[in-house]
Amino acid sequence: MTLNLAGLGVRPNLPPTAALLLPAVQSARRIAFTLNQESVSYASENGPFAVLIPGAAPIQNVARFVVVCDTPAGPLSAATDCLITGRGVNPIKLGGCILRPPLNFHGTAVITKNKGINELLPDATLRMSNLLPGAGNGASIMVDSRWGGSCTTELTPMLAPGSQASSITTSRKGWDGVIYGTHRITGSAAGGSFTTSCDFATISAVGID
Amino acid sequence: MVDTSGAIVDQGTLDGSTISWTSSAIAGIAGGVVAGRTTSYGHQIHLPQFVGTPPGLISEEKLENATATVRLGGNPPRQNIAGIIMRPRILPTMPWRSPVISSIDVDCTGLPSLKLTDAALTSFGAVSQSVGRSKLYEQFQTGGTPSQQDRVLEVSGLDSTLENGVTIDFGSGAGSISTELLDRAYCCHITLMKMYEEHLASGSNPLYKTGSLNEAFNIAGGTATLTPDFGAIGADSCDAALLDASGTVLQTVNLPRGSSLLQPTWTACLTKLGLSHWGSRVENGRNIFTYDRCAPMTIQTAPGTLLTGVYKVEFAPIGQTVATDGASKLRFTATASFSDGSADRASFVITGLSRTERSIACSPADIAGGGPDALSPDGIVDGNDFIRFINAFAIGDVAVDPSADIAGGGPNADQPDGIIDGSDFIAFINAFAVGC
Repeated sequence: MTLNLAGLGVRPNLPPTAALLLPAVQSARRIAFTLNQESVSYASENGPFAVLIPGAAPIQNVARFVVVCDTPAGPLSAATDCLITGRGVNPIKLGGCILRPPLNFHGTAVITKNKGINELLPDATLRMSNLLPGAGNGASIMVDSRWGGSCTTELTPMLAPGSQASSITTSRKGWDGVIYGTHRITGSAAGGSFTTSCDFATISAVGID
Repeated sequence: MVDTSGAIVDQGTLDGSTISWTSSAIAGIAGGVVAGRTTSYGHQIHLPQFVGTPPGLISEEKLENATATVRLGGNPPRQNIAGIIMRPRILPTMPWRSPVISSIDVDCTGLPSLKLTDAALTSFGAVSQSVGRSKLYEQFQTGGTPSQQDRVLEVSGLDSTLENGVTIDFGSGAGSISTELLDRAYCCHITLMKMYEEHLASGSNPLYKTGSLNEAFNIAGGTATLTPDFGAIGADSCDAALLDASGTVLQTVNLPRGSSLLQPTWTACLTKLGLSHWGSRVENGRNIFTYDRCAPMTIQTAPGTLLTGVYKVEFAPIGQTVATDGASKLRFTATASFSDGSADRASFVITGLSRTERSIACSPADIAGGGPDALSPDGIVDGNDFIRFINAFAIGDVAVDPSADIAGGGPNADQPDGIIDGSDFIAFINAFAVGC
């Protein structure tokens, strides 16, 4: 494994089972872990911390570092479990943990929620088919953004006659679990039109501009 | 409510936390059947960061390639609507902090299939999508005080081809756009960074490429080259203006198409790695690319002749045959070399974006009537402009209101000169008489 301390010019090689100690991590109240295809990155949201590498001097003021698996045969994305231990802190609170399947379109991770057929087409379209007739089908597009993101939904099925019982709901979920707005479109009996409802009650909106 | 050009055609405020509207008469639909095409519905949530845009949780929905007649609540229906932009109002006493959006969840009921497309991040307020195999992540910039500004957009998955990167859509109507890049990120060496630009064609919708600018690095040799190409808009050469720290042009070098500017002593910046700014603006229908780095550059202006202290380079096409009308998209792709075999792990990061609105002034006398406070040009010369000019002229102080300073400067005395005097009055009256 290779530890890449971004911006510090330090790239020590570690044995496959190396443990890193973050003695000053308590100054960082929240650390984000991101698992990519071949690496795990760690970033502090509240301030820099120190990293202790076995057999090396402490490295101070680290805000972000990346651990990369050097063995092509063992990408980290194929890992089946992840062990997080703490020392001197009790309890450790974990939030926002997501196991990301290797499904990306336009460079964005997607988690599908249905048991139908999920296809990632060459034009960066996610097609979900053979969906169950009821609710509970869809996908979560992982954004993890301070600014937000966007996606486009095919509208054609909602415009068909007799689609009054069909709906597509889009929710914007915050890191804290709060839904920052929900939009629902429903079809019509005659077809050719749809009704949209948007709801910002979860953030106590008193009006909408 | 906005039309296909993004212009607001109706707006207002509704009390309460929910609203609903019905969209009908969607163009291209007859009898409830979409005629030969797919209609889609875009969702976007973003927190605008561009200068001049009020902060807030903005939610935007728009039809792609279609318009509709929209009836919002009990209001009269409006035709040819392409989108609706919403911003929830929160009581001032409510604690509010800008959220980190974790995911956009799309759920459907009663549909046998569903297609999702165009996933994007709206980092820094612009819509970014990956190109090729690259992946986009918001990360935290090393160092500094953690805050919203410390987030960066990482573009990873670069390899030895020039097929991976990011496309940034700044929206139409921009006067200038720029991107701040860290092109030496985390591992490996980027050997070539290329910017492509697309503009909205004047008077029509299709995007077209206007040109490209690439920077190639010879890491071992400590050199780099800058190569512009405006061939897509008919230019067979371009002028490279070399500017000092104050923006003064030190020298202009003509570059035939295909030739490059050489930086014979290129070195990485120690504190900011390879921070650079890549930008574009339109000036009198002419496309201009801008480039600067975190440190002054040395440029070879001719064989054996070096110019030091160059802080910025501006490339302007010569012989441009296609007029451009507002910037729209930048695409950055890069190649990397991997001395340690760590292919695909190279990345660059975007640390900031900026955008300015293109002026829609139709005349030097068009100084009012537009914008939220009616103090910007609106494409019409009328009484609003006259009143604003008279008031500003009466004040006579550019520090208080510079809108009456429209003449006396520049080579033709038709630019602001920092003084409000008789030349401005004469210029305004003449321009007002002509109108747009």
